[in-house]
Amino acid sequence: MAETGVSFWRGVALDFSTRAFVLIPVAIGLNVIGGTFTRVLRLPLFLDVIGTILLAIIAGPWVAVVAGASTNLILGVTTSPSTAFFAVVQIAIALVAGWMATSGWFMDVSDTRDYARLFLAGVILAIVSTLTATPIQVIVLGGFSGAGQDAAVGALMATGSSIVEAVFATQFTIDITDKLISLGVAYGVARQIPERYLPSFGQQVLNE
Amino acid sequence: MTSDVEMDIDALADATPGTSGLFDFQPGNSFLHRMNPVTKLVVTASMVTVALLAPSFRVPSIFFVGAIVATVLAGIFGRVARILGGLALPLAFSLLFFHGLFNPANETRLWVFENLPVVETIIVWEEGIRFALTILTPLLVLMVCVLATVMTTHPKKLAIAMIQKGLSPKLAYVFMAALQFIPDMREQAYDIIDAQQARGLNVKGSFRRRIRAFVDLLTPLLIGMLITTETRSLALDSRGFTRTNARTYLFEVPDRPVDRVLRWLGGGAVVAAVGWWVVQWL
Repeated sequence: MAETGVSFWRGVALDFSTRAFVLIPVAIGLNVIGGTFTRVLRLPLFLDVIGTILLAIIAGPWVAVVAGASTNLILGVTTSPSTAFFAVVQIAIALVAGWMATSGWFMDVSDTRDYARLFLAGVILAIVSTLTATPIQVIVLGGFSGAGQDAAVGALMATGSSIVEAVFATQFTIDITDKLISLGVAYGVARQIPERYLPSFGQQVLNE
Repeated sequence: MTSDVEMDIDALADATPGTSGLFDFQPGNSFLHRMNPVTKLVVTASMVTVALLAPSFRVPSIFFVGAIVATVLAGIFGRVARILGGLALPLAFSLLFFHGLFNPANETRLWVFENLPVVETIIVWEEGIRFALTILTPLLVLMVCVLATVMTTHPKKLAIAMIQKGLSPKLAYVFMAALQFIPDMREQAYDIIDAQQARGLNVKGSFRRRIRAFVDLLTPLLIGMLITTETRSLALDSRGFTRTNARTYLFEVPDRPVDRVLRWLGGGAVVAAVGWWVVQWL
């Protein structure tokens, strides 16, 4: 959160404290572990942006961009190379969630209206994710990823949908649940972090 | 004398497995192992870019065969093939099956299977198969090149080579630390799963219940991790993490003339491919 009178780049540089740099690998780990838990619990979701959203709330959009993009680059070299293309989705999520945080969407959530806004934030993140992931999925991967959702995309194509329609529909169905849960978990965890472990960005975003 | 010491350090680095079980480094002394890590990344990126811009699947197919030959020469073909099987076969199946049968552009019959049970006839169409191969072959090039780079590069040397080419040491820390963190966190995650199950956590049951279980697993893991980051950031600050002076490294990563030539060739190929693509498009 850039303080008043400080230039944009100086504000970005201030976000990158040593503590922010230490949080980035934790967020990357969290993004990856989310995937591990979904396999253990057999949930048909990705849950790979929780760390990114959490950092956007507690350390700002730019720190979250680094964490999100790095997550997919690291998954690209350790798990499946095609994951690297989806770094764009992580960057978009980080920027939008960070913008919501600086605009006070996560401040002092207490009454029904605040919760409705939190729900809306999840829906917006799902739309952002679907809009960025669909073109990548269609252009680079031809609509398929070698994962479980291929069956849904294939079934839609078999009933006459175009590739874009099939991917969009499948992606949004997963994303709407996925991003609502991811945001809920990230926000819930951010609230539970003891004040002394929060970077100053997060203290301002959550408590004013 | 000094070179002896360096040799020992290099041998030691090769003998330790990669930073973690994640980075599947295979020690060796082939031409791929001796290549500068940055060169490998540049060559990978240029081959994939050219493959994506190529008009048909012939260019990427040639690259794919070339990359496979390189892995054979580097002695890592077996491992690459095993991982490639797990990654590429499901994708190849989805692409060829669904596009071959249902791609909206399908017009020309390639194969017709008749007298089958249930569905009676299956028609495989040429356009769909062509489309699937156009998508699949650049991805195969990407997979083989990345796997070959990862298996022939010690992660520490990759980090040093990247810093010497201008990457910020702080970003290098992010990647190295994440590679170390993920297996740690995964181990801790399985401990938490066991502990919570011992307390009666239900990891089966309804969707709602499993989502709740997810939160119950994640919260202790994360709070624990955040508390250790406090200590870690103090330790890093006391070791000059924020200093901007030049650094000295434990290993030396050679950058030979052949590396420079390969990088220029890679860059040139990308420029040529982009130029050709723009001309076609105009």
